[in-house]
Amino acid sequence: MDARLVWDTWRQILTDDQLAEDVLHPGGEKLNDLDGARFAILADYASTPQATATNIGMYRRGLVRNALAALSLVPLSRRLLYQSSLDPDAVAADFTRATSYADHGPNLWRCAAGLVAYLAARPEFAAHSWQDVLALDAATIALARQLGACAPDLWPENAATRFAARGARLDQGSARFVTNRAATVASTHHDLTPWLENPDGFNTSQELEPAARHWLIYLPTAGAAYDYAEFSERAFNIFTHLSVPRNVADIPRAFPGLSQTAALKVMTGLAELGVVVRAEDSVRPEVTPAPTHQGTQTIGQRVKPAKTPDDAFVMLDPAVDILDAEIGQHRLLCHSLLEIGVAVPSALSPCLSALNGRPIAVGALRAAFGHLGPLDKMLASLRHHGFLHVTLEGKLSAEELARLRRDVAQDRMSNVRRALAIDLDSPASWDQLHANLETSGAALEVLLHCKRLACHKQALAVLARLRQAGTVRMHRTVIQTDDLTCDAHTRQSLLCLGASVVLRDVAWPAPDHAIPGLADMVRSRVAVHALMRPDLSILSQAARDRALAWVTSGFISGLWLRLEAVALWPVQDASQDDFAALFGAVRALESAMGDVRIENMPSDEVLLGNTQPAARTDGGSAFADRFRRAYLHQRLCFLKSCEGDNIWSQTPEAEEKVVRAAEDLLPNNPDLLRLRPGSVVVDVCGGLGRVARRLAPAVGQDGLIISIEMLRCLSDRARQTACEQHFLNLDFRPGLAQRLPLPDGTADAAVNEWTGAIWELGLGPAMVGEMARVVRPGGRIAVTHRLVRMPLTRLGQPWVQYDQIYTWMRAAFARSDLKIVAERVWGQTIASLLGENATAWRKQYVPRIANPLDVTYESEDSPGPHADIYLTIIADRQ
Amino acid sequence: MNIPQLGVGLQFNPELIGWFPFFEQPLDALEVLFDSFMTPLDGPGLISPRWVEVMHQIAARFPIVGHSNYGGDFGFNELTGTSAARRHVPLAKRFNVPWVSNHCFYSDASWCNVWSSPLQFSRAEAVRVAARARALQEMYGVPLGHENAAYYRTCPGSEMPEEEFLARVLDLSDTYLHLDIHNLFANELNHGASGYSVRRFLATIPLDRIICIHMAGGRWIDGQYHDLHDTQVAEAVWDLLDYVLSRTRPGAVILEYETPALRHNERTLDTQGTIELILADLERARASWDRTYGAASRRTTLREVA
Repeated sequence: MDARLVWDTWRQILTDDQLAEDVLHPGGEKLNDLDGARFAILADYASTPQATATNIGMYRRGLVRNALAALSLVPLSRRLLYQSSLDPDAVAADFTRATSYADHGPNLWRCAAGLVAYLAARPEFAAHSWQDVLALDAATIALARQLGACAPDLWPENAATRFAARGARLDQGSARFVTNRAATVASTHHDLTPWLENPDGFNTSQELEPAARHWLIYLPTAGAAYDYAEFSERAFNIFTHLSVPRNVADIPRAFPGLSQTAALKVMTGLAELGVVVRAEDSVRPEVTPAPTHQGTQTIGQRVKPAKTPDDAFVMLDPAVDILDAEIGQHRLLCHSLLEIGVAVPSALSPCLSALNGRPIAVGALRAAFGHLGPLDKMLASLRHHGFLHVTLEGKLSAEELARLRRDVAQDRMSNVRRALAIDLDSPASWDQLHANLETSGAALEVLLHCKRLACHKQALAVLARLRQAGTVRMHRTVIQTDDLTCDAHTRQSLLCLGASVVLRDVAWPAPDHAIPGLADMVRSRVAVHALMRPDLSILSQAARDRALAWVTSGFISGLWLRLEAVALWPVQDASQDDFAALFGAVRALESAMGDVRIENMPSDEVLLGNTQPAARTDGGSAFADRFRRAYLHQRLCFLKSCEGDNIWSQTPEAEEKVVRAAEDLLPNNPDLLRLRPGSVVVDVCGGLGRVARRLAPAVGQDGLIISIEMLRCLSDRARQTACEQHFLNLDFRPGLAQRLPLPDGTADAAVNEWTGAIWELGLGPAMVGEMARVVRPGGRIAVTHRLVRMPLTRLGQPWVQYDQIYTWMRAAFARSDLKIVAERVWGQTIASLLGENATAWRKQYVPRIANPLDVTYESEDSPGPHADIYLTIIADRQ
Repeated sequence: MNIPQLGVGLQFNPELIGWFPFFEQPLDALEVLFDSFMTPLDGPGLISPRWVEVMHQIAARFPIVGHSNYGGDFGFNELTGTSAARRHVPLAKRFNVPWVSNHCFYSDASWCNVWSSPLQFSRAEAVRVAARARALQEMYGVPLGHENAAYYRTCPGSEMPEEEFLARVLDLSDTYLHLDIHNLFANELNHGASGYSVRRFLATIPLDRIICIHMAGGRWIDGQYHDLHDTQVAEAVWDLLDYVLSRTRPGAVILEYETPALRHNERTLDTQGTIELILADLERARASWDRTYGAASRRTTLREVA
């Protein structure tokens, strides 16, 4: 008997009530369903019922003890529970049951995270003040877990000492300051001071003053206890502003009305605590991973690429294609083995051909092309992305190439999101899934397969509970199945999992019969995709229209297409033009339908280097290779063409500044949308997810916000951010504003916030129509037009875009099923973008070998304060 | 590897802290449970903040020896990611312990199923476990002893008696044995009918590899004998101690208690009564040690003689 299998089987008994019951009282049918080896193990445990029962009891009592021990990490929540009328042991036992008897072992913070989330969802702790307490502890836990994954180079205590040693003065010259990673902030709606001052003795029946408060949470040293301090609004703003390094002189510019003296005073206070440090003292993980070819690099360490010596040789990997097209002053390179792309500034493109084909001495390269631009930076970056190899020889043997590629593959593993494919119908699948999710530090892409959803009711329920408890994290979960029929509980589990379902083998372009279970599934708001294998009729508009009509009428989210070159052109006679026509047809379908992808090709997430590629299934013939390369090339060009140079935020951090949380209309006034815990909201044109994230607390854990965004890569970024921040009630779906994939009346509210393009494209009325359709009578819709960054000096002049769009919006709302109940003009004043890093504000998706936007804005056409002005129209659905 | 002969000590169990007068005792050694004092594996730091001061005090007063229940030492996950590698090893170095011991259980990222999961006594597992033991001992840089387990049932797939398995592991790993005599006693009570024998156990294991001895007590509940550490050291265990001491020379004999209220003669004692029983056991253990090795053979008596 394999010891590993015994161990895994035993752990399954411990966590599965039904299996435990079957083992302790043999005779049930479940054991007989198992294969031989597992049956023998279970039968062995069944042969000693008393000892097995003792062991199971001991395990479960241990879990309760551990859960309560985890509370010692979060004294506020601990006090809350122990002062309540509840029996802590019983609550901990409920928690362990609700989380399927998961054992977090030495990962006590994770256990605390699950328990605090569980307490927050219990009705006994629904009071706002108690939710505040739990939220504060949740923030502490998040900080601890973050520090567990990556400790700061300089702990606050040491930073404070260093600051004092430097004379406790902020150098107003070139020094830049940034928040210490060992510190975070949390905001509450109540003043928790008396509780924080007496965490173990506070009388929880005492009323807490309702007042907005900001709290600094920090860990002075690795071995210290967590410390809390109340932040003034000003300190909070400055601290938040310093999430990216800033010069001291820049601070007052960001906050109109803040004097240099006042800013210095706050900054000095923060530096004295060590929670703000000089940028060079705080090495932060970068958004774009730095080169990792040194091999021993640890997470978060920034490694300066060593300059390649003149006598070394470099060459592009033979699998790298240099694309002809020039897009946005960039040339694209595509690595056909790694299936990723990078963009190279066109100015440097002459040296690409020199790097292609055979190794070239770096010295010669520098002499010939050094004048064109940052050549060394390009070499380091191409090497980092696995596109370029460095050798000491003028030739590269096949063995050497294989070794270099292996190194690249290994390095990439630590930088990309892992994907996990599991066949739920295979006996060991659950253990495999559970083990992978539990031990993975990062959230995974999970792709599950099964013949019938209904067969996995329990597994999906358990997985949903684990996710809700914060025990496991998935970046995204997709379940492919042949049979959608299942009960309401299973559909609820899918929703709690944030999972989408792909129905396999649907006839192209539309099935000729109703699909069992489909209507129930979409009615439950679960995203459903159909997996089709189109023939070449996809080239015809009529066939695509039929597919679109079927998808639209069934409220299906979109299509997964399986396009195999050999099946489409059996004699393999297709030309590049034929491929281009096919991919053009798929693009046309995508523009009309919103969410269409080719299932057997790398996803955009893979192409952009964010996710591990799946194994190829096309056999890898030369014809299949040609087809695949053609796809990679055209898709990369498409993604690059989606980029733009206008300055709407493109990172979640920058997005937070477009509207500061304190000024955001709907999150601060959820009654305007009549939001309640449990509400379902559709966020149309959801972008990076700010609107969804901010509305999430208003709908609570039982609510759901479905965020629809046209650009798949933005949906993916939004999902990533939400996942990192442990949001569980947000579902990001690629899709179109004018074709919302939800049945009529399935949402309580719909919101849209956009800058104007949707109106200028003439899609506004269709969008408002769709929003009205998906919201139930009695629900509300809110459409916001935002006019970003208007210099205050120009407020007196006509607001050209605004005035025009306002008229269009009013016209779109003039419908019998909508009645406008409120119009609100609101907004904020901001400093200019001076001091901001340009990357955060520009649409850039394809990885670049040199980032032309890695600059700080140093001048502006209209210096001085600007206004972000918003108009929101809110209507009742009649 | 060098094993100092310390004498008789107590386990520094968190259940005893705050009421048991550790500092007033002439203890030859104090056995620290790494799991209880380390920071969670998924957070920063090494020693939990609330234990830093206490650990500092005891380290100044007593020789510290290291012990762990939940290291994940013999599980199936990568060894470098376990509590043993990431917390216990640096703790052992911080307190300069002369040896470390762990339990012969599976655990990995789970704590609560440790006690229900004795190692599978199979040939294949002996090889795998020995390789991990050897690698872990190298990380510690001091002798690593494996504690024989008390269990309610053996692991499915076991194909040899526990003692043969342990002897094989030690043979392959060059590590050591941490003998828990009460566990032997408990196993014989629970599994004697199915062939478990303390005598055979002691005749099979390499006694010269014993670096430390655990002594404890337990109770019968519902027809099973439990290794609860909530009574005085069981009477039969004292005889076994004399037997073992006379055949080997361990570094220490450590007594284990896990409650401020020991059970005694069907009663639950108060703290004072509990302290008295523990002190009596300590005296008895010292007497056993001294009978075997001489009056000046323990750390606290060496100086008196000098």
